[in-house]
Amino acid sequence: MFDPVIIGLGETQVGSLPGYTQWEIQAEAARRAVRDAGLEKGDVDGLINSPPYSRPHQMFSLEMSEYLGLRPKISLTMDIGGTATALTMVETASLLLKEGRCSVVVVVFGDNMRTGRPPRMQGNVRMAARRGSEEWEEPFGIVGMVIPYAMMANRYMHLYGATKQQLGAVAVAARNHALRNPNAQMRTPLTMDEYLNAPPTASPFGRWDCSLVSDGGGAIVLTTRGYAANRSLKQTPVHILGCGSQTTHKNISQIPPEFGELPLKPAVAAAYARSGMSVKDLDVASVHDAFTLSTLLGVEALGLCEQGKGGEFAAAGNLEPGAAVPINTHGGLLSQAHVGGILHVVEVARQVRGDAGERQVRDARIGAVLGNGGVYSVAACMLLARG
Amino acid sequence: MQKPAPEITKQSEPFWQACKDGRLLIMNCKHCGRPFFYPRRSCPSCWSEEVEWIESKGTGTIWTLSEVAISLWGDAWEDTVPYTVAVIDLDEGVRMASRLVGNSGWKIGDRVHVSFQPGENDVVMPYFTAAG
Repeated sequence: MFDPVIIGLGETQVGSLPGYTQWEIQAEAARRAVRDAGLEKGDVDGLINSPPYSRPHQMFSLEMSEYLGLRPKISLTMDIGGTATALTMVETASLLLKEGRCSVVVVVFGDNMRTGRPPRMQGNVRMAARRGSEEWEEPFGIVGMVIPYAMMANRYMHLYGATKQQLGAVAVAARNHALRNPNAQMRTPLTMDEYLNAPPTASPFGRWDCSLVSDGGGAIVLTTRGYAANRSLKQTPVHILGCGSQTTHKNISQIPPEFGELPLKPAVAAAYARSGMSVKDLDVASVHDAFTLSTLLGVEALGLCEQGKGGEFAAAGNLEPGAAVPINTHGGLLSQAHVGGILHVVEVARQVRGDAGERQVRDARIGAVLGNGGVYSVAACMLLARG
Repeated sequence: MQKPAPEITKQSEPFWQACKDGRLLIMNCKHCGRPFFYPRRSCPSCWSEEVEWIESKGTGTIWTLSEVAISLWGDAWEDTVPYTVAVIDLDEGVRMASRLVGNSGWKIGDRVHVSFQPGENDVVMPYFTAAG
């Protein structure tokens, strides 16, 4: 009866939301998710959110609860990194529900990195780290997230012989998915020629290897199977079958010696073990794709292909709409929007409950979300299934 | 917008002072004998607080690198691009992030050695250059 289920999903418009603050975006996503569930404000007794990166906020869950007029028993702000944050927020909500500490928990993230950053910040937002990057990386010119990931891509290409065209297959597939998503920032096709001729950012990356800069938000409402059974809900519940996570480091200079020791595979192995599932059970998946390389490491870690073979796997069309296990059916961070990774969870939940519109994967019942944060520093994985 | 200067702490001060003297320091754990970098007040392998500075030979191998084409922190790097950054495996067995200077055409696996260059705010930066 205390099994956690996802009963509501909320997603704001993505792209540019000028005039909206970070908390207004999060509040809108939360309201949409609660209404989607068929519940009301007064049903919510837990709130977990992640603070915006565009401008630092402290005590952000209190700010959010107060703004929404909520008085939750539990209010938490979490920041682990990337999609690992979204997944860990959902996992934490499910643990609180299992313990009976809350009945209905809203998990939310939203930000306005596109229009809400401080004046003159046209490049990356500086990550406010207190150790590592500000002394041992940024003064050397390793600023933001593009450069560390670009260095990882060069290492990957060196080790496994992956090509620029194979990275391009990731960008093109993400765009093809986004074309089927009415709420995507990028709504025009991307050809391989356009990908290859895009201006460079940090080698081997060009513009379309790097995720979008976006405003937007997403939210997820969770409750227990028992609570869901006693309420008239609007949506098919989505079960959380199992989660796993692993942390190894933060900064690129502290990265484990080689790709096989990154945290992605242990996180996936734990999620498969806890859910009793394997790669053979997957109908759909989303993997963190802040950069094209990440999609390759994601499908490798899920076991969809061997380590180092992600480039060939992508180039063979295995990420595309209609593939056996389509990857990032919303368009991902590369072509839908970069909203931390919360929309990766929203999308897989939407797919397995059969509510994804023209991009619905036929008969999708089981899906995986795999996220990372930092520079492959932390990973989390979650298996979701139709209730 | 200014380029970021290192945010030096009381504990890391000897490293940056040594750079001014043309020496590259890393740390060594007196308890377990493992070297480490970046410097910390305790050993990340065994948590011993018996740690000491040792001088690196300043030689190593490029683990990976990237040529940066655009300024990715406001306009601070616009006068510097393109520049090349790297992760270097020092011969003592520790990894360090830095910048490559002096020539070009570097690739993964190339041998490099430290090259001290003036940085922001009178700090001397330990960059790397091709060996030989």
